[in-house]
Amino acid sequence: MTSKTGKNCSPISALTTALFILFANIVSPGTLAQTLPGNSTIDSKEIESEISEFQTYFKQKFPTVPVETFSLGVYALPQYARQKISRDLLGIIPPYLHALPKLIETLNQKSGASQSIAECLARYPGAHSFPYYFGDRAITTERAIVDCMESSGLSDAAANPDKIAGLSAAYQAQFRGDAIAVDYSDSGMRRIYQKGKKLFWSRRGQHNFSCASCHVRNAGNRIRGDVLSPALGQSTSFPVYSPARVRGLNSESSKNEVWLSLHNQYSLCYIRSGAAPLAEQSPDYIALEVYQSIMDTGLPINSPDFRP
Amino acid sequence: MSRDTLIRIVEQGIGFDVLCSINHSKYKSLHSQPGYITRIRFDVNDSPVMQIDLGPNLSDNPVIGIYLTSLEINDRVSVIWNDTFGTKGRASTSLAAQS
Repeated sequence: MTSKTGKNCSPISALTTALFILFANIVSPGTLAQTLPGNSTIDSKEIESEISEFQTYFKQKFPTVPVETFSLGVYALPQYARQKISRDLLGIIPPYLHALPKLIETLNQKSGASQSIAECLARYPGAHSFPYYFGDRAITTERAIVDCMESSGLSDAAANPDKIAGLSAAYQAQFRGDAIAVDYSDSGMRRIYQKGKKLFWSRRGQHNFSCASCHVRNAGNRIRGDVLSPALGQSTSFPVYSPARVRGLNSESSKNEVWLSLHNQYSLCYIRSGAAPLAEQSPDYIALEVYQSIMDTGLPINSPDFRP
Repeated sequence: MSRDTLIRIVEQGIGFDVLCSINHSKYKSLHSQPGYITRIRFDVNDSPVMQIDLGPNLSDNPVIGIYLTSLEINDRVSVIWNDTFGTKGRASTSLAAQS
C-alpha cells in the first residue's frame, strides 16, 4: 500500500493509527482537559476559572438541566427521569423525617454547664462554608461535630460514625438551600485543594478508575444497571439517608445505621474501583471533599437527602 | 403524636394524595420471630374511608398512600395501624394544619 506522500503504509500501521486515534478519543475528556497539579501553588483566580470550566462542562453536557438542580445528584439527569417520579413521591414524606427530630434534640442537648453542640457549631460561619480552613487544617462538618462533642463532654458518642453523620445532616438541614461558598483565600486551603484535585483526576485500583472516569467523562452513562451521577453537586447532598448503601459498605453493621457520609461514599467508590478504602476523615478524603466542595460553589445545600 | 407515624396530604390533579410513612421494623432482634403490620386504616373526620389488611410481605418502614377525590380544608385525615407485636400507631393531619 502506498500513501499520497509516496511512503509505504502497511495495513498494520494504518490499523495501529486508527486504534490510537480511537483510544485517544476515549481517554481524553476533550472539552475538560485537566492537567494534574505539580508542586506549584495555585492562586484564587486560577481556582475561579477552574470552577467556571468545571461547571460549564456539565452545563454543556446536560443543557436541559438547570445548574442548581445538580444538587439532586443522578436524579437531576434526564436519563433518570423515570426514577425521579418515585423519588418525588417519596420526597413528600422522606424516610429520614423519623430520625431527624431526635438528632436535632441531641444537637441542642446540654450536659451540665457545658454548651450544646449547636451552640458550639455557631462559632463557624455556617454549613455552606465547610470544609473550613482553620489552624493549618481543613475542618469538615463531621470533624467540627466531633470537636464540639468532645468539648461538650459527649466524647463517648463521638465513637459512633453513624450518629455523627446523622448530626451532620441535622446541622445541615438548618442551612438547606444556602449556596455553597467555601473560602479558599488561604494558601494552606489552596494546597489542600491541589491535593484533592490530584486525587480526583488520578487513576487507582484494580480497574484503574479515577473519580473523573465515572463522574465526569461518563456521567449520565450506564455502568451495569446504574446511571453514573455527575461530579457537579455531589458534595451538596451528603450525608444521605441510605440504609441499603450503609449495609453495602459494611455488611456487619447493625440495622440501626442509616446515615451515609461523603467519606463513606468515597469508600464505596474506592471498593468498586478495586482500591483499598481509606479511613473516614483521612487527609486524602478531606482533600477530595475540599476539591469537590469548591467545584460546587454556588450550588444549594440539599442535605439531608435520601438514596435507595 | 407518635414520631413513628407520619402523614402528609398533597394536592394531586383533581384530588389529594394522602401519604403515610411508618417507622416499623419486622424484627426486634436478630433471632426473634418476625412481626408485621396487619392492618392500616385511613379515616376522614373519624369515618373510615379505607382499610388495608396486610401480611408479612410488607417491607420495613413502609410508605402507603391513598387518593381522595374530595377534601375540605378542615377535614381531619387520620391513619391508624397495628401489628402482630401488639404495637399500635396513629397520626392525623388536615390541609389547614399543613399550610
